[in-house]
Amino acid sequence: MTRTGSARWLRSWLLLIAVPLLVFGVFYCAPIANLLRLSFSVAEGQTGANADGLDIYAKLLGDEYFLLIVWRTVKLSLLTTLACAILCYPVSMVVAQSKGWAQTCLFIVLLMPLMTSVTVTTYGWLILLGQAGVVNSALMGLGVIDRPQRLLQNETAIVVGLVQVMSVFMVLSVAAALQSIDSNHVRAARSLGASPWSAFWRIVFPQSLPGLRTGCLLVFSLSMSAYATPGVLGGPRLKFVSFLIYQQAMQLLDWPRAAAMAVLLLIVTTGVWGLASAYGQLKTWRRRQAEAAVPAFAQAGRQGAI
Amino acid sequence: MTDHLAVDGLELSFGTHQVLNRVTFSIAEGERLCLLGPSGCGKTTTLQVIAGFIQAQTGSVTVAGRPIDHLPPEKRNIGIMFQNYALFPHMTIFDNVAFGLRMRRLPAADVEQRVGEALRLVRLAHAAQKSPRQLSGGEQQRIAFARAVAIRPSLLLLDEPFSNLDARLRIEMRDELLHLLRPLKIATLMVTHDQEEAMAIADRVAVMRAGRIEQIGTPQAVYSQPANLFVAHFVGESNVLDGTVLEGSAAGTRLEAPGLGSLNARASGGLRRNDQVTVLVRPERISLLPAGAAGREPGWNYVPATLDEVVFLGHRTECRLLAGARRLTAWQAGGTIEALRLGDPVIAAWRHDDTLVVPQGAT
Repeated sequence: MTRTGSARWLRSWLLLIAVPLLVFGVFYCAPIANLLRLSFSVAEGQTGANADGLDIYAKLLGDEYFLLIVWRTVKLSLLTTLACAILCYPVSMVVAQSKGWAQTCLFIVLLMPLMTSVTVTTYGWLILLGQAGVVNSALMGLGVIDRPQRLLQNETAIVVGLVQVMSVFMVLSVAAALQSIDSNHVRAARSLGASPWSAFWRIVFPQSLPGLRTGCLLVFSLSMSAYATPGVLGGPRLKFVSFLIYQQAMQLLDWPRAAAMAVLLLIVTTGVWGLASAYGQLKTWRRRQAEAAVPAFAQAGRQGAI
Repeated sequence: MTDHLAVDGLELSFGTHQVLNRVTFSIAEGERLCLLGPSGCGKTTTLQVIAGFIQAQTGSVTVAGRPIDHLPPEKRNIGIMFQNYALFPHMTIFDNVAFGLRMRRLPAADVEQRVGEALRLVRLAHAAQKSPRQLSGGEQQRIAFARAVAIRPSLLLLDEPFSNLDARLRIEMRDELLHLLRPLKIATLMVTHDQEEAMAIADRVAVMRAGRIEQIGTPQAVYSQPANLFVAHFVGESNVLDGTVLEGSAAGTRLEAPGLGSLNARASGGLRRNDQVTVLVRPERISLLPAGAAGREPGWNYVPATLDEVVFLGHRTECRLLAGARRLTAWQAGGTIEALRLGDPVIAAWRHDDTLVVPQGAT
């Protein structure tokens, strides 16, 4: 390629990425930068002797109540992710194997919660799980329990509600990964002596891991910032970080504190995810190291090649 | 030699569509048989029934005298090389080849030794720790072969082994595969739509159409004595003419071909006077003589024609002839027709034995 040619190529390339860069910068980076800036500013009327920018963070990190809520948010988000992964994997397999009409119908059913507002779907759970709700009546009718149980305003209810809202993201990413696996791989494994279960476990499951990872990332980060579902199903006692942020910003009008909480939520979310993937990387690396004990014949071949 | 694989009367239909229609054949120990046919003829379905991926509605598959119809694929001990190789992308080459051995719970030392053997066989021992993605198409195919034979299968199935390779590599791999297969002496069933591949690899060829086996025989037999028009068209090229039988006997058939005059053909049973037949002549069997050439030998058909078109193709020259209103194609090796020019009168000559007769209706 000539120099002018490559220059032209570079220019058109820059033009091409300029638009997405601009959109990304204006609508994504700028608000985050603003949030950061805001979190370091000091709220009006809160001038104190040591009221510098980091003061808010220090106070938040020393606040047991705040840390408890952060811990609950992380714990329930992880539980939601785990439950989604376990419950949605079989569903994804059905979706990936279905064809034509059946698949379209399954997708419609899965996407339904996304088309309705999260608040509406969550209120559906109130009807199901309430004191006089469907589940309690059914269990009483069957004689399993003799008086209504408290199924709402606890952590289980939050996880149940979150799993329902989030499952579509898990199913879509896992099903996409499963669908891209060549069906001949399973046949090859079977012909080489693998039982159906063994072929799944050794051939299909490992190849679906990238999709599972994406699904977990989506579900986890969306759960971390969930607002309506934990608010409605958990009640006022079991708050999530997002509820605290809302309270600070909208009710107490303490914007810097709200911004600092949001920044901390972002850091915790990426931190937990970063730790999880680092652990995964470490395991792969260890396995690679173990495998690097190359068989003798391969080494002989290598030397022969040189 | 005894039959190693016996496939008997396989039938399979989906609704009204009959995929397999009494498919019956057998493979002797160490023999290579090729199912040849156009796409949708049922050849791949037959392979999948043998492998155990599809159940036929009736019929049976026997390997070494033992029926295997009721066995799941993993219990059949059949090595398969898939059209797209189906190498496991998340495993190294070593693990790919070791997969079948580990499924058989062989001790690690044996696994290593046999993977080593298999990889050395395909000359890719140095690639053991690579991932399939790092290999070229031809190398991936060799690994697929190594993986299939490492389990020491009782039968080897090759599904369209060359269709994923470019034309040049295809011929190279065809020779390579034949070279690998010969010493293994393993009963092999190959499926392909390419007649050249089939004839190059197989000891016997079974031509399939619409779920049926039309003809089964050595490549030479199928080529020189096609059972019907379909086989003749599918295996090699032919000049196809219409004719009327004048006289049929054990010595030969005499017939009248409109525009070409009377021709003598190979004997064909059950033909009577005035039967309408299709006459087939392979283009490479037709020789061209200058119009004035003297001497007529017995056992030859001579047809006067004009040279209409000459196409030089390097390894052969394709001559299009006009004999009356009939078109004939004759292939000449090298420069034998240099002296002839377009429009020249010529004489097309071919042996009586190279004139095949197929009754009309038996398409």
